[in-house]
Amino acid sequence: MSRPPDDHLKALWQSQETETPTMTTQAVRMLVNDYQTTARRNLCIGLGVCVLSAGFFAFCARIAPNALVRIGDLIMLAWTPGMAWIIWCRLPPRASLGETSTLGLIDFHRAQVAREGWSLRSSATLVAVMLPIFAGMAVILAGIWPKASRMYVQLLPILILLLVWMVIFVLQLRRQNRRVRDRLREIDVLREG
Amino acid sequence: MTSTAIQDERYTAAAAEFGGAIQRLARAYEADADPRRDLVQDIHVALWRSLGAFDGRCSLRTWVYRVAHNTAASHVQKRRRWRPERSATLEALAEVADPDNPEAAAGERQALSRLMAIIQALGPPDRQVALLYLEDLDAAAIGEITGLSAGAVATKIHRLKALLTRRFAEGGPA
Repeated sequence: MSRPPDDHLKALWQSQETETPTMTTQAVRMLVNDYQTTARRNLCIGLGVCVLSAGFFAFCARIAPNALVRIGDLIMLAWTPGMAWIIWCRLPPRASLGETSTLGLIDFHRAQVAREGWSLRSSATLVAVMLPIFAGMAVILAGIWPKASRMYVQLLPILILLLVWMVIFVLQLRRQNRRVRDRLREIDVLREG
Repeated sequence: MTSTAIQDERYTAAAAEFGGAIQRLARAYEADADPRRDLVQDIHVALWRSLGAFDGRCSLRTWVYRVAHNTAASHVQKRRRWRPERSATLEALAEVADPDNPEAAAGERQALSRLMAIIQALGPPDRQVALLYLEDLDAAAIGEITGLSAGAVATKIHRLKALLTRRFAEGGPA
């Protein structure tokens, strides 16, 4: 090479033609509005699901055949906003792009990914979220528990479905853990460069 | 002046000064035209948003490059989930022979293509240092943006220079 790479390559790099004009503040604002609209829509859907669940359990409590079922429905009703609150609190915070160095951002993402994996703490949170639901279901089940001798046959499909759901949940948890491990490995490679 | 007006003013100044660098950076991170346009847009949006929190503790240049590189790194991460990207370290690239015919790489255009190919083949941290180096930032500024120590930046720049010298000495630009 006839010239040292430093200056020549820097000049070569910086002389590239730009493809599109710089964005105006109006264009950026429109994009920001689009992003915010999407985020608001997702939030509204989440809130809608909570309101619908609350309405459903309120209706069930109103038409409950006995006091025990009503208590179960009320437990579920009371826990709906609690569960929404826990899910809302567990949403990851946003990293400040301007204040964070790239390695800092990678570490931030790593911590977020690591949070998705199974741990004693995440299990405790899960139990805290699910326990009132199971308690409510148990009370409802006790309320509608058949007095007739062969009524348990009707409840058997529900119990089997519950069991299947739990097995699927455990399998899903294992799969997620594997995925989290892979992603953590990828991030570590990225970090090491 | 309202805070939004200040944010707009800062953004306009930053976009005017660093708009070209942002596009060059996007080109180095994303080879396909359509996702690259999306990446440029994302960087501008992230920049505008972030400038609301800009407090002058670092220079505007450092801030802009941090936002741009961090957005690009997130973009690469997202894309890797759908389309795994093959990237290499500076050391690995240095060991691979250059397949190009030296005669074919005579002009500036070819030289730029070769440079781009080398940069796009690097893993994100090395790519980031290479880009900042080509944008003429010094080691201290690169360290501030990437979070790497000054020593690590100096080592990476040294290896990058050696790689580029070797590649371009084999049949580089005029």
